[in-house]
Amino acid sequence: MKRSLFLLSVVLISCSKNIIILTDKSSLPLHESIASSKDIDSIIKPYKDSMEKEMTALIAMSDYDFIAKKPSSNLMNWVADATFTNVIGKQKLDAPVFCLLNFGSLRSTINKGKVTRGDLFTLMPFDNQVVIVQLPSTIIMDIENYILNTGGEPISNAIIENKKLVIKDFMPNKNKYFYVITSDYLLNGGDRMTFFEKKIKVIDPNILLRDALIEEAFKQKKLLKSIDLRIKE
Amino acid sequence: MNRSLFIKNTVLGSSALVLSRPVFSKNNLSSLKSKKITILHTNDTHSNIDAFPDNHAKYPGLGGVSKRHALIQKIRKEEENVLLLDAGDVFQGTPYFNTFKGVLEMKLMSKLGYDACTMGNHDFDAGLEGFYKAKKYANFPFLCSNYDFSQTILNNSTQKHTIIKRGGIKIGIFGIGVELAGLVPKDKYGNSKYLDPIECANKEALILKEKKCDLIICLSHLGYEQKGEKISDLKLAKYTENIHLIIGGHTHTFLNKPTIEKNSRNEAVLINQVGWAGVNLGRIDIEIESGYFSGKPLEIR
Repeated sequence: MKRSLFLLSVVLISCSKNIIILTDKSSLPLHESIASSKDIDSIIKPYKDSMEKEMTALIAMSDYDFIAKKPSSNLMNWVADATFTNVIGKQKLDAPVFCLLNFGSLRSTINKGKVTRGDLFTLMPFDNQVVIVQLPSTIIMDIENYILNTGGEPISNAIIENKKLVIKDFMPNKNKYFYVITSDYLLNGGDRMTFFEKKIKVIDPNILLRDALIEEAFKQKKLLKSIDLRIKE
Repeated sequence: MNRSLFIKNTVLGSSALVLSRPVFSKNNLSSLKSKKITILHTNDTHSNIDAFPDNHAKYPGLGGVSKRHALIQKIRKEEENVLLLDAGDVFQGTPYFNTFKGVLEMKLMSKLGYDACTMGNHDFDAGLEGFYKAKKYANFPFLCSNYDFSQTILNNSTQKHTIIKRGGIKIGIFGIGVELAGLVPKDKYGNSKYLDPIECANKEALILKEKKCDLIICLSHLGYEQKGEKISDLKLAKYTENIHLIIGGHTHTFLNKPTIEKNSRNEAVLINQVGWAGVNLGRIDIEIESGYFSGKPLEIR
């Protein structure tokens, strides 16, 4: 193909010289037809081999592709549900509770087929700890606004409907406080969830967030699909 | 040779300057003594050493450092002057990082022949000490002009800019990073100070201009576009001067074509970003002509 046919050129000025930028092939996909490089493979191999056994361990199977997509999606729901279930199974709480994580922490898809330990590391590579935060009921509106503003975050045991956060079993007249299962990253100012600054107390169940996911995936054997739209605008 | 230009706006945006006739075939370029440089770039590779698996929901079989190396080698054979850059977030995303803390990423980037890289927010994920340790395996500089590391272990580990000469072209490159508070846990970035990106970018670009760089490139981890007041590559381009090209990252934006924005002097700035995970390799070919337009500078309309 003649290059000139599709060529768009931009002229920028630098001192007295002219700079012409050719923008006709600015993104080259690294697809399968490109052969791999032996030099590089030999550098990677010892590293790969030493992780191989641990990371290829089969944790579960999945009948679906799980994908993160705002406002809510099967992957966002699965991660929030798995975290919620794992923590609730280990910690008794005296008030309504829901799980709130962040969209940004879901770093990959879960693909249809085998789900390995390495896949769950790739999904949740951060070494974040789970924390349970007790919050006064007066700040529910702040959480609502935050989630509506960002366009959706992973939540479990709660929904957003008519712009209101509805936590299961929460009664506005009765409950003076509630709990949020979240990550230490978010509690400590990550993603600017500033409402956590109004915390009454924090419970540390000593669970690594990724471990909670690995444990629940292993228990489920086949990953449970949840397709409900939890954040309705 | 009559090489008068016809300038008009295009679908790319009103700021685009288009040469509407077939131009710059290899032959007529050489007769004009132009020099060509090919800039290859990545961003947000996030420890994706291996290609994505074939059952990947979004990018089956795509990416991988091995294939990236093969493609870069091929281009190095075809083009005389190649520059290889990365806009940050080399770390975090696969068990390779959890297990080896970034050492393999640095070794591979060195082998691929990267010329420079900037730090993304996730490059703090092993802590400043973790970055310091991994960086020992890098044979290329990390460019950070708006992080003050003077009170940290990274003092002297990064530099504000670098100047590279390729085929007679002098290229000035500097790095701009994203605000760390609210994004990176405090215990990971310690006493690092975040400085104003626009101020720092203007300062570095001016220094590079005064050092007579032909081409000035900003490696940015601000993100392509951000809501509200938050600084982004689009805003950085708009509010600065002397920058020709912004190689961006952070927002994992897949641009099919570079965006053309106007800077504070109404001159064109090019912004490119190629998604994440090493799924794509960015490429921008630049031709610099000496004495071609002897008249006054062209303005972008």
